[in-house]
Amino acid sequence: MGQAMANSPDITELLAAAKSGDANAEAQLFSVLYTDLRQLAHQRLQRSKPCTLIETTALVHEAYLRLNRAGYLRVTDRGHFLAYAARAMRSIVVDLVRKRGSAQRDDGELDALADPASAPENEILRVDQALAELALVSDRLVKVVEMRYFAGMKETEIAEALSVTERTVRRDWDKARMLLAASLK
Amino acid sequence: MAIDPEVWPVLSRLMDEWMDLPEDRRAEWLGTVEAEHPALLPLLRDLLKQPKPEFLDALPQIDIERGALAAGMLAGPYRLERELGRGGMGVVWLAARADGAVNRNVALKFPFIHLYDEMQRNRFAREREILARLEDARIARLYDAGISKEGRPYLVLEYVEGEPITAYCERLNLGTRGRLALFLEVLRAVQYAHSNLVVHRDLKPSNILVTKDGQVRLLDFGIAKFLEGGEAAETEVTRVEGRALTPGYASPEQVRGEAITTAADVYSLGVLLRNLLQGQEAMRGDLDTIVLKAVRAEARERYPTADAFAQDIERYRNGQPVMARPDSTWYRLRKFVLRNKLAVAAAAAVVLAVGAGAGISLWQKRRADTEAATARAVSEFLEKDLLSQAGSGTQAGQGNRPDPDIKIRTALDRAAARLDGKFPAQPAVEAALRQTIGDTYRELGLYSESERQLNRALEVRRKALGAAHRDTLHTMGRLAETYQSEGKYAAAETLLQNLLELERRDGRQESREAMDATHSLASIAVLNRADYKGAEDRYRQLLDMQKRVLGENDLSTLATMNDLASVLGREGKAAQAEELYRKVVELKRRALGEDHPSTLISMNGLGVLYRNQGKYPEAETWLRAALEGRKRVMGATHRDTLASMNGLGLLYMVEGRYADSEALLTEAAGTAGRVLGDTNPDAQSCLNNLAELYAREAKWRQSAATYQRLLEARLRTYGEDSPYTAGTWGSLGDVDLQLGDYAEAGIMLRRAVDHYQKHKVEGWRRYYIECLLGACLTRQGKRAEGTAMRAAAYRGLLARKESVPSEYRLYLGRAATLAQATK
Repeated sequence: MGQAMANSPDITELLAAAKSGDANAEAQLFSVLYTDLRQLAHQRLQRSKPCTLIETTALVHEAYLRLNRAGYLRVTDRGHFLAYAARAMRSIVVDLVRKRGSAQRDDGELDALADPASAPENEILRVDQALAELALVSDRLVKVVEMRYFAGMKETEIAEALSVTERTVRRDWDKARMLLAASLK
Repeated sequence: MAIDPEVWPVLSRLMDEWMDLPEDRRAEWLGTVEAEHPALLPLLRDLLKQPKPEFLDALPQIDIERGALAAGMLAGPYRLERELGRGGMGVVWLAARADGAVNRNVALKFPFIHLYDEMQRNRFAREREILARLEDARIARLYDAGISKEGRPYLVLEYVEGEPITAYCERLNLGTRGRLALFLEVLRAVQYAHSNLVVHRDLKPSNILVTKDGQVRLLDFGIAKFLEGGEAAETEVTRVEGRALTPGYASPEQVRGEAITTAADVYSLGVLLRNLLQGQEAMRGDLDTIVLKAVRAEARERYPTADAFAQDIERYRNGQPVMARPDSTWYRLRKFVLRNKLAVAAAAAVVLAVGAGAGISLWQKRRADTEAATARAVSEFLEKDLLSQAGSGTQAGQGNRPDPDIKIRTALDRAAARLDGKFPAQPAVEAALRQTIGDTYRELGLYSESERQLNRALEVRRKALGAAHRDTLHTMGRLAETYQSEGKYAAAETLLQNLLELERRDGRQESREAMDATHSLASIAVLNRADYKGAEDRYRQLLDMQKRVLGENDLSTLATMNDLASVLGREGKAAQAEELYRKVVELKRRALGEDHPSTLISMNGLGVLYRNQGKYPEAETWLRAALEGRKRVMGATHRDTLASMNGLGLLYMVEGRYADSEALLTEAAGTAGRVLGDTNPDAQSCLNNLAELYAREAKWRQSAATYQRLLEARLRTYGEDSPYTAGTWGSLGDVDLQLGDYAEAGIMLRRAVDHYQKHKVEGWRRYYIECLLGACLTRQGKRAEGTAMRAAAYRGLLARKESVPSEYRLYLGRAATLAQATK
């Protein structure tokens, strides 16, 4: 406990540092959120009986509530937190799909019959790749996609997180969908 | 489709414009764009083909099972036969060796994909080894673990054919006795695993099977932890149990996602027992009480071990009263104690003392009806004569006005007075009550009262039960504890040796009472004679015995280990001490949990060791961790928490971080004075350190005032003839000397020196104080006397230089200056 206690990350501090452009803080924040959300995801996966659905929206909110209750996060940080959490969620989802995908490939013959593009999970990997390209032109669009698609957040929440109007969020989302649709064709 | 960042601003603006337009004007608008940005038009046209509304509307579902398993598939050397079932963690298949090398079925468990990472960590091998070591016929074995050529990890488990324990009992329509017999088997299996440091974490009927021939078999022991890996538990923020909680069977701490110990299994077993007994006609009050104790929300209020749980069921089966029974009275007594300022600090200990006094000694193997009658009488007395005085919702006793602010001391005094002659025909009752009251007095630091009550209890028990009866021996042990607490070491040693001799004569040298006595004797060797080597030998012998008899994870064993580490530290065997402390901390963390008070004691001890070694950064890490843990677990005003603040404050002081130190020590001393009162030893320790700090900061007046307050408290608590009082006289005299108040300093130092000489105290501090007195005498004009005293004292001090703890080394310099000056 000793070490963990001494190093227990103060999310509020990390958020502030990340906002001011501290890359190190941002990396640390990402790693904390990634771990936390991943654990939450595991818990969720095991609770829901059919075990096939990741409820990412609920996960992100649960992570926020838990950190907030534990005093690691101020209410005023909610918006920024959600933006970073969505990015972590994207990674988690993509990692899970990759793990699955590699297994299927390893399974050999069965997979040769399947159309890889038609597998719904492949959409996730392709969106992820397209986002990597999109990031070169607009980080805000990427964030909107992460929050909307990977974390299932509402427009009002996204607007709050990015400090823009809801109209801008809708506009960004439409643009992003167009760009991604063209990419995924 | 990569977009050139150069063109993006234009492209983005055009997309905005397009979206702002009503549909019927968009074609026309595209015409104008063609004119202005011909190069962008193909790209723009491509983008503006709007995707279907459902595009990216929701995240696709992810299948966590990773492909289908089918009969006939191979996993390592095993061929799958049929699916046995699926749970929160994965799918289980029946399998057999494909090569026919071993003709037996096994169960293969395939975890879901999100658990893969954990399985592949380093701990994999270590955990597998621990689990594979569990060799108990009642626990299904983990044979092996592997990864199939498709990269799918799996566990190879013993295949057990049987039905859930609940279904088995129902089908055979077993009665209460039969059910209890089966349940006891479960407890024994769990105890076995716990003593190997394996916690199940998911005990429930589907994991507890009974075979055709009626044998209990526990499945999946330790598997939950195995699969979860260590990552989740590393930090507070991320601590989540990544596992399926079985509703009803999961303990509250599991549901909250907190650290999990053996207490979680005790809880699940309590729920299981309740379910097994549901609808049983013979269900009696005591069994109910047993279940309730097992499923207490607070982990530390449950049975401490599966073994204790089993023992209580055995008691029930033998018709003896159960330990869990008098819960409500104890609980209320504790509540009462908690409300009383004087006793807040002692509250936890009082409850323990009450448990040990009225509890253990009562529940010996004697005729059940006598015991039950005694227990009732004790409870009644405690309620009517002790608790009612506080008026905690109960009716006041005869002629007694309830007084919510009554001090526990007053209540105890009255109860003790009322005991005289009240139970002439029931010596067991009188003895049990005197024992309880005597133990409580001791916890309150009221030693002479404690001594009186315990001596009476001892007398009564000797007469009624005989000198070698276990209850009598128990009272001897507790009386010795009182003697030890008040520094009457010789009396304590005599009593303990006597006790050991009696136990030895009856062939019980390995009883708990005997082992506790040995422990106390070793502690006294340290406290009384600073005989570290003697104590070390005793602790080592005792530790061997305890490991053999009680196992490595027993609280007493761990306590001995802790004290041995502490003694090694005092002997200067720093490396050994450190290694052992680290081991104890680790064992306690695993067996008791991170936040257990006992774990925190050892963490604190490790910090103190580092502090004494001068390893300040390490000391700070551990002392702070212990402080944070105690704040969290025991609250900011608990005695242990204050002791931790005090200890960390001391560290900062010796590091020269005076501001940090002052912040901690003023808070600790303030809270301790308010909550514990100045007569509490811990509160006095805080005052002492604070006064010392002021002196080091050269805040002489504040230091003198604080020492003055401490001195008053010492006198009130210990009287004049006490090493504590003498020590404070010396300190105050030192500060008075600094202030130039030679008259006052002379009086104080003289008193201290008189005490040291009278009691032939030989420690370095005596010589330091004599040095000061010599200097003081010189300043007062008594040159010859002063010079002689200074010279002799300084020689004495130098001879003991090595025994001066590092934080007091600076005194050597001061003594040297004083010894040479004033020539």
